Amino acid sequence: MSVIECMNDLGVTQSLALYKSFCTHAWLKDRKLGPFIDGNFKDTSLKYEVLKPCTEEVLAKVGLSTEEDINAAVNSSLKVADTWSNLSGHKRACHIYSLARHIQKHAALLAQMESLNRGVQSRDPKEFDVPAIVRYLYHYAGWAQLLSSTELRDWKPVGVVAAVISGSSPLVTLAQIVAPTLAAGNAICLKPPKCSPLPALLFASIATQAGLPPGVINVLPGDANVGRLLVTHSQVSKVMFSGLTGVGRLIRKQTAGLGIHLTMLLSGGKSSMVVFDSADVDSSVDGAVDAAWFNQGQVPWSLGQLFVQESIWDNFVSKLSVRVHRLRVGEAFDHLADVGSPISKDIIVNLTVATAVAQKNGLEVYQAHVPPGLPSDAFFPPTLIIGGLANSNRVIDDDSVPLPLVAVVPFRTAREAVTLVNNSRYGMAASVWTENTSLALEVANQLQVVGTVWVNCHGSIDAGVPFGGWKQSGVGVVGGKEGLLEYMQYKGVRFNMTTDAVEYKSFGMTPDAPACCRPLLSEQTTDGSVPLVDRTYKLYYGGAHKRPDGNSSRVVLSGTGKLVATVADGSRKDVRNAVEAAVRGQPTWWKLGAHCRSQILYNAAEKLHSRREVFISHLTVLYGATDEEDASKEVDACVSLLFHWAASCDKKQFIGGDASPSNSVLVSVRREPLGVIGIVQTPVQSPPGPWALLGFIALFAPAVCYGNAVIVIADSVHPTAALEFCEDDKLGRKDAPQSCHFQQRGHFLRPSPSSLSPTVGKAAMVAIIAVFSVQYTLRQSSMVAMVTGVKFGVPLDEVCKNDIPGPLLVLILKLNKEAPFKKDVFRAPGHQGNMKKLIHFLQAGRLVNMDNFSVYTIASVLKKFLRKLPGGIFGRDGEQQLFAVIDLPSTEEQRDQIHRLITSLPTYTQRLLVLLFGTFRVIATNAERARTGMTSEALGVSVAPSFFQSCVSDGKTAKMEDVIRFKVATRIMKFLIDNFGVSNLFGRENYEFYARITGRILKVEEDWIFSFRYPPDTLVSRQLSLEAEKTWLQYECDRWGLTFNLEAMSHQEESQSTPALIHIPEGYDPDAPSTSLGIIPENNLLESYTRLSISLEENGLFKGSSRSSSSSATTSHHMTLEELRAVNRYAESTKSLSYLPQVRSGQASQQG
Amino acid sequence: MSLCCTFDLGWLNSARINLPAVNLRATVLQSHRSVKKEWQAAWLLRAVTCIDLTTLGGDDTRTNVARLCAKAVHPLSSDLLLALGFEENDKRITTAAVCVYPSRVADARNTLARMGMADKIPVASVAAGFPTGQYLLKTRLEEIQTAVTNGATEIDIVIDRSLVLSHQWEKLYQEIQQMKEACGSKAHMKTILAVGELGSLTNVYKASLVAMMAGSDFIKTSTGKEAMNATLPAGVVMCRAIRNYYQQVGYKVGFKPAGGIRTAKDAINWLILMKEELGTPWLYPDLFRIGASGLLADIERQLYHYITGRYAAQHEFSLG
Repeated sequence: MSVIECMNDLGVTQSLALYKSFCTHAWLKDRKLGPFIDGNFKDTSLKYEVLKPCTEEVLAKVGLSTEEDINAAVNSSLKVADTWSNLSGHKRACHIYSLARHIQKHAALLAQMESLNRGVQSRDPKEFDVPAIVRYLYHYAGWAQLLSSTELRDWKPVGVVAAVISGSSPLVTLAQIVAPTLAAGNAICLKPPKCSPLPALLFASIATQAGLPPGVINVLPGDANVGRLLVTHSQVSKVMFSGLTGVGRLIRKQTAGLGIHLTMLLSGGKSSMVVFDSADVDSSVDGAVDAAWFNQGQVPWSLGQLFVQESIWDNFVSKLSVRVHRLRVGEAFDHLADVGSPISKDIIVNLTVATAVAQKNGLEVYQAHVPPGLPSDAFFPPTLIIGGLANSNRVIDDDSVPLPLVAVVPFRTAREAVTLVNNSRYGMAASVWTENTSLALEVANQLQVVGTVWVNCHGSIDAGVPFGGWKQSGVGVVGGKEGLLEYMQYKGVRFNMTTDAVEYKSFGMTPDAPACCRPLLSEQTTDGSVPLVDRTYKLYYGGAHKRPDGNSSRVVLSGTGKLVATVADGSRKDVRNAVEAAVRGQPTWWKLGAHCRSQILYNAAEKLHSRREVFISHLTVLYGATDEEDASKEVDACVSLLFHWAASCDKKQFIGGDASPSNSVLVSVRREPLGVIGIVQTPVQSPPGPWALLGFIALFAPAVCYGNAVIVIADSVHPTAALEFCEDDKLGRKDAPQSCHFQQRGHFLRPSPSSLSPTVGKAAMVAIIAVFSVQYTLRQSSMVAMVTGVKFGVPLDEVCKNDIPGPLLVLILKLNKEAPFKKDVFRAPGHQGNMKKLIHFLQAGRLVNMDNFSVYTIASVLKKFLRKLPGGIFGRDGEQQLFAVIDLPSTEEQRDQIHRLITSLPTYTQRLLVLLFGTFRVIATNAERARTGMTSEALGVSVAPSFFQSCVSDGKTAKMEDVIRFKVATRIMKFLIDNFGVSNLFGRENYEFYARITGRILKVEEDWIFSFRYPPDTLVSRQLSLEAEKTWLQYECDRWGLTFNLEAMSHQEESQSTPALIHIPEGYDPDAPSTSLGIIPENNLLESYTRLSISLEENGLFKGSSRSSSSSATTSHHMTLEELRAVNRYAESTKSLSYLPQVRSGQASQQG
Repeated sequence: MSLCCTFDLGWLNSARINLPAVNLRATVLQSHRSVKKEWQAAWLLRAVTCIDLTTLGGDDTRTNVARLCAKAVHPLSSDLLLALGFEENDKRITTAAVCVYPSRVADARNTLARMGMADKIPVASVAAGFPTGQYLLKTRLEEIQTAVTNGATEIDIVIDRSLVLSHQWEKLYQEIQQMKEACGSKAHMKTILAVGELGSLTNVYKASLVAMMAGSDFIKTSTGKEAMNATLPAGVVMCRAIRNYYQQVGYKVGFKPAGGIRTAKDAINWLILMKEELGTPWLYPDLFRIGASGLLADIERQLYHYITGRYAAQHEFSLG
């Protein structure tokens, strides 16, 4: 036809633009197809012809599986299942990820094969099935990655899965079965339908190309007999079937008594759609047509009954008829075809019969037309049965292939609609169409015998959402975590509380990430005299590399002191720009959706891996190591970590479980990102390693994966690692400036380096949209960092390697804040179950949400911890001494002796003691005012056995001397509690420590006032930046040996801490005698606790880093810098600067 | 000439639009229907004949309006036309109209008259407080009358969006009706709804109905001056309104997407929308227009590619 003719005939049906399926034919040509076993097609003599649907055209000859083949396939699966299930989660995730990538590469081939072999119109597999397959694979690759780190660690794979797919199942079923099976660690033997085995064979072949171990997927083409032999095979432990209800029933009979677990997705019966008069009529007409003829009507959710409210009946039916009339019937490869040819001619016969019956029953039949030129025996026009149900006269055997036929039925009320839909033997899915939300939810709830109810859409399935049928529509589900559990079994391996084999060193980073070791220092060789092509590191934000505002650079030195690079030196202006860019980009990033974000993170991992060698050599040089082992471990850990967060992306957005309080309420809870997060990465200088790249990824990936934008101030010692990462990062380039990495080096000569991070903090506050996920995000990120475990029953020096472990600190702090106002803390027992749980968490080094545990539980756990310390906290000698001391006549002497005893203990013991007794003291002081009953006497009685192990000889029989010793011990405790804070019992440093940690203000002797308060800022991100900034600042000074002047930083805090010194808030009972001891309760307990717990987690996060570095570097009799800072603040508040020289000497010693 | 029908508030209030479903429909339309090869060329030519070739700049003068008119008369270079089987200077291939500001109407009329095409290509003028509509009704009506006097036979009026946002449907109806009267019997009236500023698709649907009830010959998406221009979802909703109006009243109202339509693919998407939602009659210039200035260049490039098999550089075609 000429262009002019075409132009004048726009209304006439266009010529068939047939697209030949070249690539499928190329793939099929000369390929010997047969049972796919152990990664190869087996060439058998017994072959059958696979025909193009409804024609005689032979597409390929495929070898029929014999019983031998089935045995071979199951055995090969069995063999590989062992190694496959023993692969680490990350490696399995890599395999499935690779499969997803390869499917994407061959998307067109797979889609065309489906169209060719099943006759389905080409656009449906292209636009729906193949992308859905990819989505399923991505999603379950994520589950494979998360298996060992989630609550699923008790679930084990079942072994060999036999899957039978019938001809009526769409292509996506393949992935719905294969993806979770592989993720769970099973191997699979798949029997595709006899007449359309090609897509499955192609899929298996692609899987081999993707590197899947041979035997993990075996495909056995054949007839029903092959299916029977496969599902009843003695080595098969799980059968998955997708197809007709009748066949499902048969499989159930055949496998009865064999102990095989079944999952079935049955397509007998069809789904319903209910359109109310309050619906968007035009949209529901479109929805109905899509749902009915999508994929030839051969999907489990295809529409069969369309219920329309009487009041819109005429309008709806006329619109529907017009719309159906416009549907284009055509060959599979007609790219405009809406309706293809059915898979078999039987369907056409059945359709003709059903239509005739409907007509005989007095129902109106509306048929669109088949365009001239198409064979009438291979195509059937889209047909509507108007006025009533077409199959109402068949009740006994209604399990034949579902027909693409829509019965349009009127209804009067919502109640009637519900009855009509529920009145069926099947219950796969239904949809409700109305703009009236309460009506929609009410009806959706009433349709209780249906697996899925959609509102205002039909057939939107997703890998993350479970989908399955009720009644005779199936058993079990596909999709989501539930879909994964179909292929796993619970294996109750209970953890032994005492011998927990958790690797503390590597715990919490990521389940598979091996610990990185400290790189060895060695000389780095330099090249010749000609300079290499210069490598410039700029700032990176807004998706571009930018020069710093100040146009100056900083030097980065390697571990051996050689110059590695000069990097841009940022200033507050750059921070401002980065924050602006992040605020602009964040909504786009969030709106991309979890699936897309996870793909981008996966891609980042992919990019990182492809540049693995570059990073390894870079890190090796940067750390000044001799070999590349540590760096390669670190890079691998980074890849695994990125996988971890990519996997978590689309799995943690909903709060688990049904949050609805009652049936009449539907609660939909959604997690939203924080917005823009400022992250300051502090350098890790001490073993186990600098971790410049790992630290960066660990901080930024969790924040970004949930839809936040981040501004990262990179590791100030090793900034190039993070900058290298941004160099080739899709995150920044393609998808808007959502991740703004910003690197900055503070220089003390600059006006006020300390004001930089508060800038980030302030800007971040503006950007926060929802505070809901604050804790969540933070927890997640601290999960990544090392969390020190709290071991029970080992000497204290083993528990406190560098310092008191964070979790223990949090325990005590919670008591410190809350116990003073609760009755009988330390006396009343805690909840047994919770105690066990908490102890387990502590032992395992898991991060604990203290809000879940009562103070009683915590107190009991603390007591248990103390009791389990070998020799007691004071040690045997210490106990003896104390027993002697308490008998001394003079109080002064007692105090002196005890002071000497306590200060002779190791530092961590001193600190633990001061925290404990400080807490007891607060409890005791408040006993009267808050009427808790826990006076120092009562406390002494309750806790003495935990401190003095010698007063309980064996715990069973109490001897008289034990009772006497117990009484003495109680006295000692009372003495210690009463004297806490009154005299110099614990030493100044310890009091300072106590004041700093608890935020309480102490007045010990005349002129000693200790206070330490974080600025009372409720916004966590600010806290985070501030905290990190402190550590960073400290480190900077530390490193450069500079005068540490806190002026710039502390005047902001001073304004808050100074009033606190003079402010004595109203207690619970203003009439009670206010204590002269100067222990002042917190103003707002709840708030300050939240604040503190977070800042402590924060400390935990950086614990491996600066704190330990400074404490290990300075000798123990020196104050740590942090303490000095507290002292400084004290000095400042008293306008005395006498402590400052010590700061310098402390740093000087470190510099040396 | 169009008929106005009485204002029907009940009809308006029964309107329900489901945004996700409409968005889905818009996406599906783009992917499920595509035209290839000679059909693509034919559809592109059809698109050319539906273009209201537009210049609405603050810097418009007589000269660039003259150039615009010349392009409207010869939208495609003659060698392309010959290659496609037309005669050189085929009168069938012109744009549907030229569209200018009221003060440039006379210039356009004169140029077209000189080329002997004054009766073939109508001159459209924007009016009634274009682009915001935030003027007094009196002056807006005067604007329309002046444009008509100057020789515009099509008037693109804008509605006062504040009336939509505050749901003063009846007042909106009356205003549009008065504007229709101001257009007189000769000039067609296209009503610009400025969908980007109406807040919701339900408002778009209702405003479409009101505009049609008040007697508009066309409803048009945008002025091209808003932040959000013609989008397919808005187009889907407006087409459904046109279809429902036709079902109820029996009168065919035209549709004109405008703003942001720059590529040949965009144009074809809009044509597909017309064919799928409304049917073939809405593929011709009496019921369908595309408001565009840069679109023609891309269509020419695509036709060039259809004929020669390769793409031409932008500078090889005459300016519009």
